[in-house]
Amino acid sequence: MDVDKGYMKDVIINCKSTNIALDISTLGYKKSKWVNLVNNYLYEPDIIEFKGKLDSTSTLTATLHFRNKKPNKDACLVGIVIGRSTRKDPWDTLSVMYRVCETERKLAVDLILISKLLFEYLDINPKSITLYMPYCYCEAGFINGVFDLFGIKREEVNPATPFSKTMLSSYDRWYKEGCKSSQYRTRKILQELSIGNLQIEPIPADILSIKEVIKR
Amino acid sequence: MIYLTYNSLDDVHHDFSRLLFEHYPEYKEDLVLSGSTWYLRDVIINIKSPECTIDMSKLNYTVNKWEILKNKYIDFTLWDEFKERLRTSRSKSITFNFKVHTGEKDGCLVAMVLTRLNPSKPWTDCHVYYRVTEIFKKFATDLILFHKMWQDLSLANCNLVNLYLHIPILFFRIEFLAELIGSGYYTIEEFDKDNPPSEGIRYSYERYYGPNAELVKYHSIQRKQKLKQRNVKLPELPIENLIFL
Repeated sequence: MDVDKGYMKDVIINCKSTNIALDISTLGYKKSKWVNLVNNYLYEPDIIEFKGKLDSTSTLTATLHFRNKKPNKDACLVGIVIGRSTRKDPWDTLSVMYRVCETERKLAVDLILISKLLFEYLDINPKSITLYMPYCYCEAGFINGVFDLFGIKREEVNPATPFSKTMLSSYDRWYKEGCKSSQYRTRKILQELSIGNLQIEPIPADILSIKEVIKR
Repeated sequence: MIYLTYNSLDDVHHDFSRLLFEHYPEYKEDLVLSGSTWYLRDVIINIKSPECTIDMSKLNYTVNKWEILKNKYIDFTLWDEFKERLRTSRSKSITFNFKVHTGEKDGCLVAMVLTRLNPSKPWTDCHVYYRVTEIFKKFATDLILFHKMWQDLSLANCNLVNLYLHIPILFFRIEFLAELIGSGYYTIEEFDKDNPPSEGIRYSYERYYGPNAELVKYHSIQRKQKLKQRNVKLPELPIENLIFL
């Protein structure tokens, strides 16, 4: 693992269940984040065609490409490959292919998106989910806003690494009581979230729905 | 999850094909046998250099296979645009999507992501995402494609030091290996170990290409059987003679 200033190359994460009970409001996200995410990556006719393929194909793997509505920027999520061991078995593996992933906040909503896609449209409950990330990163300045979610005490962070140095100095500058308000929108949200001045109504994963967004 | 590192594309071709046979005990928990095909899941292969001398004719392919392969996966207009983006982008990662296929079977190659940690320096790492691949023949031709892409990318602000192949499922088809032994590309002794895959290949080789083999109905195998009976050798196709652009 090559860690430098919050960047990690070649990260592979495997998990055994798509269960997710995260509340995206705790990350400073509003419902509009979910709506934008769904609209950027998913196009219902593609998903329905893909589901039809899963139901009828004799192959052991099938690919769904995520779409990308932003013309000048590649999407962070590239696609998924669903697999199974034999033609008689149910689809039971999922590979998620990333271009890049921001881990402190965006990864969380990506995971909800994938979980909902499987549950609402594909009717698949994989026993192995593998996320391939050519690289991922954690914003040293922004993680302070959601730091308490990760169950690590700030005092226990090793201050000797370049990443933690940046993180801790950013905390002193922007996130302590009485710090000046940031003009940078994302940091301002995280600042207010951190000190308890941001009130967003809870948005637990179980009330988020892809179909609800697409029907709008 | 199986993670393997090789020095070159040639090494992958030479060593990875033998992996299942020579190191069967290490992988037997990961292997699934269905019919005459062995499956492995979640394989990642890291390759350090583009050296590749695979001759497609030895895999019983003509130049048509090469033309079909490259045009099946690469839209060359988009490839040129991609290379221009590699030259001008300030990003740390960039995606090239292989052609999307319609019909029952999706393309085996899904997408390629190039990365670098410093946006003012050339691109260093290339990740290729697979859906699935067959190891003895089709994967070998993919390696040729990667060699050509690697060469071409070196002219587009790339100094690639790592190629990573992410393969959710790969399979070893015993008939394909038997065919390559039948045509003389490999010898049966190279794969003659004391394990189930080796038993499969001995059986398949004797049945289709051994001294007492009879012609089978399955067209693809029968064609190879007749080539062997007539001792036909396809014209050589050195990799440097294959045109990418």
